[in-house]
Amino acid sequence: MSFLEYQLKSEAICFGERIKKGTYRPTAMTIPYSQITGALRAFFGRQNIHAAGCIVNYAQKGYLNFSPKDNVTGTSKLPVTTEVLINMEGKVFVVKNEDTVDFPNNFSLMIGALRTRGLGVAQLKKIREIEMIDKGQFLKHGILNTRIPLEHLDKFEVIFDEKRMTPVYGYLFKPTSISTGDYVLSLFEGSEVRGPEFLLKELLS
Amino acid sequence: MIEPELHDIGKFIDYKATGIKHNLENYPLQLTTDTWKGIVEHHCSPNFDRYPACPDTFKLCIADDLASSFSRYSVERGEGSLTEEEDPYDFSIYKIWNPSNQIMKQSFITSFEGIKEIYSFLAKNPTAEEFFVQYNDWLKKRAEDAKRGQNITSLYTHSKLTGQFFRILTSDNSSFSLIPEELKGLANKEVDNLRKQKKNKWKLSIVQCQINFAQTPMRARDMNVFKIQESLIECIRKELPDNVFFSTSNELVLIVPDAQEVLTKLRKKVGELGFWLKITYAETQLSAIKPQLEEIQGNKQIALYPELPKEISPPICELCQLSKAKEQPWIDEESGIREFICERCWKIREAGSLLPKFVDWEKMEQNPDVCWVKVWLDYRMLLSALKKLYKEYLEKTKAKIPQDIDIKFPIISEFNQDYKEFLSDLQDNICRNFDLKSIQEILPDFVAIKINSLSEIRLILSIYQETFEKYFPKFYEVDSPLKLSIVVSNIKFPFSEVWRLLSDVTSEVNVHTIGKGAIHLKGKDVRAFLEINLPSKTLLHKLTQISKISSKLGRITLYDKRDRDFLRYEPLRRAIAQFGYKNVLTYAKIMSD
Repeated sequence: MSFLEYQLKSEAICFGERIKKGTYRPTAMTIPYSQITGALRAFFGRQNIHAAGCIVNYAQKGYLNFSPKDNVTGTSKLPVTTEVLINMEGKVFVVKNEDTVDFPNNFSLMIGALRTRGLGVAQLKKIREIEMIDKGQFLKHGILNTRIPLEHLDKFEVIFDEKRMTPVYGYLFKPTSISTGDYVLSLFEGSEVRGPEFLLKELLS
Repeated sequence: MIEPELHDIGKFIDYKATGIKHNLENYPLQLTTDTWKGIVEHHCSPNFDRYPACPDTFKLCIADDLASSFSRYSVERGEGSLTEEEDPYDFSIYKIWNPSNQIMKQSFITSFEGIKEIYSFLAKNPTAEEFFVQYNDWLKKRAEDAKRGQNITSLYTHSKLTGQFFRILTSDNSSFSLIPEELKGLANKEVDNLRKQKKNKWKLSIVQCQINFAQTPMRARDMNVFKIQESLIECIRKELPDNVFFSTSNELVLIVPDAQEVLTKLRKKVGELGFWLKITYAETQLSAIKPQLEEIQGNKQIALYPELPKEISPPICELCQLSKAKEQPWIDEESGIREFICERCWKIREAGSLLPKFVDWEKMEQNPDVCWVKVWLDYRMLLSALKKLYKEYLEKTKAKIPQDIDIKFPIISEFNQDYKEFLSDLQDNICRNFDLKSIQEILPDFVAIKINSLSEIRLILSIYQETFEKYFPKFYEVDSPLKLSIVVSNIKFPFSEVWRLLSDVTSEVNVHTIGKGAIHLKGKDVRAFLEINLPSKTLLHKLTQISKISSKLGRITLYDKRDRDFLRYEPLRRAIAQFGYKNVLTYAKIMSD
């Protein structure tokens, strides 16, 4: 199994979570499977793409106030405050397969919330290919640094033993058509797993 | 029925002065009550003639052993020991986190008159509650063991814990089976052997349980989640009064005969409230129980969640994001905002205003600033700090230091009482210094204060530092397990972000002011930090305004010899050398407000 490692850079980005109180949209502090995979699938128009990532650093957290307009009535709704990561740098790991093998070394895509307002322009630069030769050495016991649906853990060689490891559960959106989707049970950052070191933020034992 | 808490009442009597042993076996008058029997038979050692002769006193003997703060025979005098004269018994408690200089050379009762009073009290067959009311002061002052190096817990804690262990051992006769025939005809030494045998055979489980919530409180009413978390802890404490040995506002350590039974109970509660629990548990022999769970072989870590479906079709709850939201949205009366939330989060919101002052503050026209003050206690760091401090104390007493110093349950339980007193004292001190209308207690370790000026943070830091020094001065010498987080934000600022910053405990004292910066300090530096000789408010304001453009420009200004205020910035430059630029700049911004 191999992975393509990309550096992701963006001047302003929000890995938007659900809007709270109708007025506040926080950003996730990692790059969830659902967001990066969705963005890559939309960009390349291919389906067999699986990716996840994490944030390495960012200069500061900013807040953008934006009042969505109701196109039917022409009136503005209550303004939504969006958390924005300024000058963010992250890492994206793409599972290498027939649909991803020819990914370019450099490309730009739009990812995250408020893309129509100029957020989420991201430059991806290929850093290296990671090949898993010895599974025993490749996989480490540690704390997950991203969000991956349970059903896709195997694609990243992430092993989660429900009886021995402590999870942090949550749900990620899984589109079922262009306008519908479901939320699927996922492991969130902070979960104890056995997996590739690059997906872990902290090693245990 | 034996009142196990009273088993060491004889320790109030000074043996040297009266010749009466603490198990009262050689007192001329004897009673026939069960409690008296417990007192005289609670030891099996060559130092005493009487020893356990029935299952209850046998279990009391083991409970007494488990509730002692050290492995009874592990602390020995080393080479170059002090003589008995130089190294007297000290009947007062040496709290390793807050040692006192006072030495108590005798126990409280030195005459037969006093013993008679104890005898009369016991003749009334008192309950444990009556005992604690009557002798509260003595129990808290007298060390469980008077030998220096071992006098680290109070008789109060020891008596309480003996009661808890005794009831655990007697409540489950299948796990801790002992028939009277097993003790029949045994001599003192043989009972002692049986005690050791049972301690290696009988098992107990230690369960450490950390309560977390998935909700992101957004409205004042969502903050009810803290109160519900607190009531969950209280509920567990009430249901299992003998099993809780340590507790904070979000953590419990329990000792139980069967971990699975407790986990089932907890799972049910979690399902009702929507919290999730991080649990570590381990089963071990009585002889090996200790608070350091990770050192017990076969320890397990699990997480208890409410039932989670594999898929949820929209809408998902906007607050916890772990359940399907109700089809009917929650509609805010004022703004008309619709929120899709689940049944459990709805209940939390509908529980009324458990924290009423937030609702008032939110309604105020000028949205006020709120200072969120949270104290954190790290259980693992606590064990490691106590171990270091205990070792230091043993070195001081020239005791032979065992290779693996064990911190046992009585010490953390003793600490737990001081920690709770500290929190209560801290809140009292805050209440004394701020208007009561401006204070909202959320949890014993979490309070919100409506402030008029950022400079009031200085007062809060000062209150914390004074209270901390009163209770835990020795923690300045180790990595302190106690951390303080302060976040100042506007009342309208999203609480989720406040909570994230409060949870950021990179240093022992952490202050975040939204839009102004952060301060991270070691606890021992707080006093000196607060004594920084600040220049005038005008100068601080000037520096703040410059650093708004660029913090680097602010730094350049401070060191610019051509600046007309160069000399007046001198105290700040000295402070920067000691505490770092970011800390001092943030402090300057705070104090210029």
